[in-house]
Amino acid sequence: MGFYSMHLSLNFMNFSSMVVVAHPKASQVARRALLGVMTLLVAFLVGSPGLLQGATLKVHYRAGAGELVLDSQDARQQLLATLNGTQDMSREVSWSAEPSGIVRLDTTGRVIPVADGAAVISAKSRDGVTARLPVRVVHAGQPAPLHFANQIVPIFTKNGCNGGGCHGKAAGQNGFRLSLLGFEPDEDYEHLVREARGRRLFPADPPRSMLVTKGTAEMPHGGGKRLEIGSDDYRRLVRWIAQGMPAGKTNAATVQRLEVFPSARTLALNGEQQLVVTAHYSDGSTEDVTRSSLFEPNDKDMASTDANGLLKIFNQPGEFAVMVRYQGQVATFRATIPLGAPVDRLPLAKNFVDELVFKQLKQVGMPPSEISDKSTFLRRVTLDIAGRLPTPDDVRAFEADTASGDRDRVIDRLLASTDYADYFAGKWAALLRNKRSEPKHARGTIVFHAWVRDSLAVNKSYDRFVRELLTASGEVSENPPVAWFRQVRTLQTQLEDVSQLFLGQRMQCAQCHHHPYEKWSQADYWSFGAAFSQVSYKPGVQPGEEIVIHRRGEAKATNKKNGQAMKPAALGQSAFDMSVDDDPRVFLADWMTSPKNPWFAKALVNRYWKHFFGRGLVDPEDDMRDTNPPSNPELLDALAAHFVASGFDLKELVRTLARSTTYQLSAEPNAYNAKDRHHFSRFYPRRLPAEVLLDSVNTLTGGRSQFEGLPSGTRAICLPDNSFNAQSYFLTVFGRPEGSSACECERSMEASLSQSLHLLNSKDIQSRLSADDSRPARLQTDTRPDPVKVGELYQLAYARSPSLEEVQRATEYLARKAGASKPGKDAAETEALRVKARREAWEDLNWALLNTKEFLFNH
Amino acid sequence: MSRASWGHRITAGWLLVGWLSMATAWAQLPLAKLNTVFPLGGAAGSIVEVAVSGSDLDEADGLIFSDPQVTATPVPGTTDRFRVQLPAELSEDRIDLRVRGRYGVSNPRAFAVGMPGTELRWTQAPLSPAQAFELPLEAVVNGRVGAQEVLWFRFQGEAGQALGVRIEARELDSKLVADLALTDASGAELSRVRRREWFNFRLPARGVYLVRLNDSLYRGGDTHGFRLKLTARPSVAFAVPQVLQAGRSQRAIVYGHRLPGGHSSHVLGADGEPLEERELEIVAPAEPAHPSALVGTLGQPSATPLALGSWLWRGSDGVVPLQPVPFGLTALPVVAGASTGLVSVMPPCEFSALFPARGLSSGVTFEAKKGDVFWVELTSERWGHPVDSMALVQRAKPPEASAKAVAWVDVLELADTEQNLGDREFPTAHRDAAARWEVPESGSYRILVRDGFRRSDGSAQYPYRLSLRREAPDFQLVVFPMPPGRAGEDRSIPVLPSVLRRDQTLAFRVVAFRRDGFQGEIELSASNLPPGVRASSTRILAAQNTGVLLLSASAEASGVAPWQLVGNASVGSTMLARVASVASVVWPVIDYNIENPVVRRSRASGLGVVTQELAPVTIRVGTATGSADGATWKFPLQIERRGEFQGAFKLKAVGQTALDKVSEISVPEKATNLVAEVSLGEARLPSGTHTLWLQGTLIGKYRQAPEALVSAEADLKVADQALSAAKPEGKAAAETRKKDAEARRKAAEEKAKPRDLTLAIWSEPFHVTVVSVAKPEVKP
Repeated sequence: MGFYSMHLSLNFMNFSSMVVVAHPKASQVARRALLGVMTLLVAFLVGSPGLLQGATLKVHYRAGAGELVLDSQDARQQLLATLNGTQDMSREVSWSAEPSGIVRLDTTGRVIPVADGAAVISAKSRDGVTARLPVRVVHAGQPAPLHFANQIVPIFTKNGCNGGGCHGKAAGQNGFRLSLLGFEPDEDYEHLVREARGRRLFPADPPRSMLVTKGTAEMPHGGGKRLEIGSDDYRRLVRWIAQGMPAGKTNAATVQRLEVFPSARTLALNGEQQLVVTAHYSDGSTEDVTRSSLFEPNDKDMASTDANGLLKIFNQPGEFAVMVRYQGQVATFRATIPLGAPVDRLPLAKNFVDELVFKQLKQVGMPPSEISDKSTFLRRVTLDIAGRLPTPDDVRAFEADTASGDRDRVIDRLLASTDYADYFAGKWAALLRNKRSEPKHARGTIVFHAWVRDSLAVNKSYDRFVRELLTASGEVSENPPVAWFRQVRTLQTQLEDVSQLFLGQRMQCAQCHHHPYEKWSQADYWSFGAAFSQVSYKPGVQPGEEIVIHRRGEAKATNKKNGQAMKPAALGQSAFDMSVDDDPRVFLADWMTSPKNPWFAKALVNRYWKHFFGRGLVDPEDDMRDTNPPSNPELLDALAAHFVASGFDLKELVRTLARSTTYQLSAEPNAYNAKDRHHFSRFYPRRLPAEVLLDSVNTLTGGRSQFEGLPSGTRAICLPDNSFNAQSYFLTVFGRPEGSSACECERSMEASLSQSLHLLNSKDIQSRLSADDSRPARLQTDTRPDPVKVGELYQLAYARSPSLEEVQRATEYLARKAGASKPGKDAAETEALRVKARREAWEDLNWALLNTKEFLFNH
Repeated sequence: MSRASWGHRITAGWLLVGWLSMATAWAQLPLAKLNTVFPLGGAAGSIVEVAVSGSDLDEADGLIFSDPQVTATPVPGTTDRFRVQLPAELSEDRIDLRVRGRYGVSNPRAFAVGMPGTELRWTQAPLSPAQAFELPLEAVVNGRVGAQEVLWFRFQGEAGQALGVRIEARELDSKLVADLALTDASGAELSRVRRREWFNFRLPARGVYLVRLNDSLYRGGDTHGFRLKLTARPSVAFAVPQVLQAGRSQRAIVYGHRLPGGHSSHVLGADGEPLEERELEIVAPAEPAHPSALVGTLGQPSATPLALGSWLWRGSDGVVPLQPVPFGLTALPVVAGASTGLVSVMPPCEFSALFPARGLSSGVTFEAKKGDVFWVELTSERWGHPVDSMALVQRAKPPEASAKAVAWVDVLELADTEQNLGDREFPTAHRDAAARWEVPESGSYRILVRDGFRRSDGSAQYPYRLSLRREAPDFQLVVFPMPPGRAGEDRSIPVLPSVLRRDQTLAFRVVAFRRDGFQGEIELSASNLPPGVRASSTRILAAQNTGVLLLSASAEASGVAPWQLVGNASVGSTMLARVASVASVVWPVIDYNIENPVVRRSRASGLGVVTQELAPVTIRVGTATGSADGATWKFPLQIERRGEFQGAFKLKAVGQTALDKVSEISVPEKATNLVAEVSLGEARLPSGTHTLWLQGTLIGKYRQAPEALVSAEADLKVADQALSAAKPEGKAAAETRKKDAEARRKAAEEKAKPRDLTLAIWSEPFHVTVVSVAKPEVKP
């Protein structure tokens, strides 16, 4: 509670101004009346015991809102009682209203109109602090006119009727189909009211309607009970049927946006927060839709929500967001759960990355780990930038470099090497689906991989890289990125891959329905896709290598939902101004690679952040939506701005990330940050990727992989396409991706029993260790002293020298095993057996090292 | 099980057997086929020992070169090596060589004649930086890349030195597609190009450098030979204009590297790096070069018509490029444009410029009269540039009172020339555009040119030629041996040399490139044939693009000759005679669904006769007699069968597309004489004289060189006797001789084993004169 106590300061003068805010729709008369009431309130509160205790309590329901007006029988309002502007007390205060008979309140702070008139709502804490809110009820006896889309469809959504697993799936459920999450209310009305000869509804006796009795489980219902008899939803539904199932006015106001209140909070471990959701309509009106909204935390290990919008925090510090959905609109609530530990001593901030990470660590009270030692850093950064282990020469040189800037020099050296290009080319090739589906695709996949690799080697700016890919035309040997269009042949896959890969926007769902977690509509989807509508193919120089061209003509794509022809447009933008001669892909590339693009730079820096830090600032890294906010928005913005300012310089980005102290923190947790998965207070260890691990095993064992059709000794990180996975069980079992999607998630970084068994006792590994040209064989014949050779082995495996104890243990084992060899028939045979035993001892030592976590993980 | 289902099973079984037998039976009669030559060239004024490999090169006794100044003699004691004498007076060039042997004269392979100087070969492949082969400036290394191999070369360079590595492979019929990289002495990569024949760089510092070479797909072997040169000489990528007016001196801008007096341009090379430019005065000759001179440069089938009207510039004004630069030649005025903007011209004319960068225009504006007819043709892809040339003809719309600018209305859009005239053996489709255009009304016009593959970076990169000419009908011909018909799953494309056996008739396919709407008939005739070989006159029918020429060898025919096919046609009142280029597939293709063939024209023709074998089957057509109504005709056929080609087969009358409907003639097993009945009435041939012939296929068993087995057995007998009689001191030598004799006998026995093959058969042509429909008159 130390952290909280620091924030318990009082600003009384702000209190009255916060409470006395007139409702914008209130009349002048009402405002004058209110002013009088509030003056009384202030006078009352000044003398309240709570204030005397130095705390403020406030009743509110929406940012900036004043008097509450309930204007129909159906109007409801969830209230919040907040202590000191931060702590939710809604479930701890006692709610009441004076005079009585105007409204009633439940224990959660929900207001229900009873009769026309004005009243004052009070919230009183247990220690006597009280806050008040004026309320006025009008038309209490009149139900609000019902509108199917605005008031009935949300009932289905809230109760899960139109979810993808129920009636909302494409084929519906048991003959009854609703649009997914209610995005097509016209269709829902048709299905509900007119389909099946209208037998789902029974206006003569609404409660006996099949729709109602199924929902209440009075009739057998596969989905179980979804409606409580007598609940607000139940009564509204019945009333709608009783009124003859009105569709509502065609020009009725529609929801324009959602507002969740509060939008962000710093919350205590195991705390609670009531959320209030307000729908803003196209006519300017608002409505409390808290009970009709859906709530979903993006990290279920940190919090849960109930149907009423109450958020319960678990015992886990960190940050998370709650996605709130209603009527196709989304809003988010962001929560910070500080650990509250003292952050007295921070490492030196080397750049803005550190400044922003440390700033957040201070905010959440989480001290970072120490800076990693030199050998750990060297191994980490070599693996992350070059995809290989440091060589013993690298280790020795780095250990000998004691001047300031030694770590920066290593980073620069790695970036200047072609290892960087080789390693990152593999990453990009998989994301760009460089897949060899048929043997005749070999030329395409090899030249495309080479193009990616060469682009990285010359540090082609990222915007140019993407532009060349998106606008590629011609023959694959002359312009290799056209190979991408062979893998993504349809307009849909083209737009979906582009949006996911380069913008971090997942558009797949929007093809068929409004994206449930995002704002993208089918119109957005098809107009974005129209940029690819003029991509055409014709036979190439060789079979399987089609030529990609832009076909002259009017670019458009048909919205499959309504048949409307959509012109090419950027996401959320109006159509491009272009002629039939223009290739819309060029316009798309212009927009995407503009420094002003809201997603392009962020998507890339987030992707690279994940590469170096193990978890994206937004995670998954290619799902950047409002409802999946970054863990450190300020840092993401700063990184993106830096990337843009650098001219989309990928090496500069890598340099910035790798040079930061944050990247160089130890993976060893301190007393506070063992559970940290959001704030990068330490390095998050991770298993080596399949190719890197295979190469590392080869390095350690002195083996070589032979891949068909490639020069002997080709490293696994240099493999151009997926076809080599089938040749190597190692690559398969450790999850090298097949290039079947634009998602990094295709690469498996999970650990499995198969992997362990493969490393422990597979023929593959055993043969590498026991081959005549293996490292153990060479070490056995090497005449240098054992401690020196053990040291070299450790440097290879761990990029560090062994401790004295490790050397002693290893040399003892070598001696013991050699000494335990059986005597032969003669001296020669005895010596041969001893040599054999000694070689096996080296094999054992080698085997033991490669099966350690220190070897298998980047840490 | 029902009888029907059994029937299906039996049918399916026979189909399978039939397919398998067909699949194994498509072996061909032995024909001399040349696969590889090594080294791929030599210096003028030197003698080079050349090794050849291929199939059926038995008893190879000589090489035949397209340049008769070059001669070769077999290396004694070898069967695959020749000493090639390259006279000193030869200029730097490429020539073709063929191997002459028992099975005729082979297909050609390219061979480079280099400048007098150093030609190098290694003894151990330089497979690592430590083994790097020393690369002196301006020397030529002749080498081969093995499968999955990476080769290394080393040289010493100076700071700021501009050098180029030139690798010759494709032009020398090699399969190598080179990736090249420059590294420092430690092997750290400095720069690279992929799939390029030129690698240009400027050295950052004085020191040792390495050049790394591999096939772009890591393929390799004997088929992946190359000639590599480190040079400081200029390289020219292209020039603008691409076409020059014949017999005139003109200004042109050449783009390339290391151009004396040149300066940096905004135009990019194929490797994406900026080119230098230099303006020069170039004197164009009055006549184009011999078509063979353009074979390596404009080798693709579709470029054939261009190659026949072009010329190679070898340097002027102090710029002497390592490789000559091709220019088109024209009688029309030539206008050169810049990389952007429209240029006013007066048609007919030729225009050449660079394709415009993104957002810019390139092309011409001009005035035209209603009724004028022009041919609009774009040339670039056929010139070797990876572009998709497109043109749009637009007419200026008279401005309306309120309009501020002239509006342009689309009149004609030109796209790819997709028609493939020569099937898989000579594919001619290309991405250059051409169209006839009749001016719809008098006024101002413009032609906008662009590259459909335009690059996103917006830099100009490749040139084009825009012809705006009066209609001038003409044609060009290409001829190559008729490929055998395919059966079942066969998707192979063989290499076919021009070889006849005695008493054999062989068909050649003739492809006509018709220009500017020429539709007339083309009479085909051949000359310069080997003794005893005759050609029967055939024709390419009006509006057709392909025809067949039949050559027949007598039982006494022999020799090799540079034969010539000539096409004659009348265009208006003018008679045109055009000599055909001879073409061949460069490498055999196993499955055309996986790989397209590489095809090129030969630098010289070569027709050979196999004198030691007669054709397995010869068909002779006798005098025909017609039915009373003239619809059915009877042809006496004499079928001469040799060896084990005794099976039944079918023949079909061909020579007119209308004959597709006519039934086949069945030839029973072992039949040697029969009267074939053909219902020409069904074909409804038009009145006139038609050249027809019969063709078919026959499966038989073939024994290769059985006399060699007899001879080898005799040799073995002698060797055996010699061993028996050998004294102790001569025993070892006699044993060796016997072993050799045994090996020869075994090889001869293997060859002489009967093997299935399918024989393509043609009869000599005969003429049918149709007086009226269904009443043909037949003359043998």
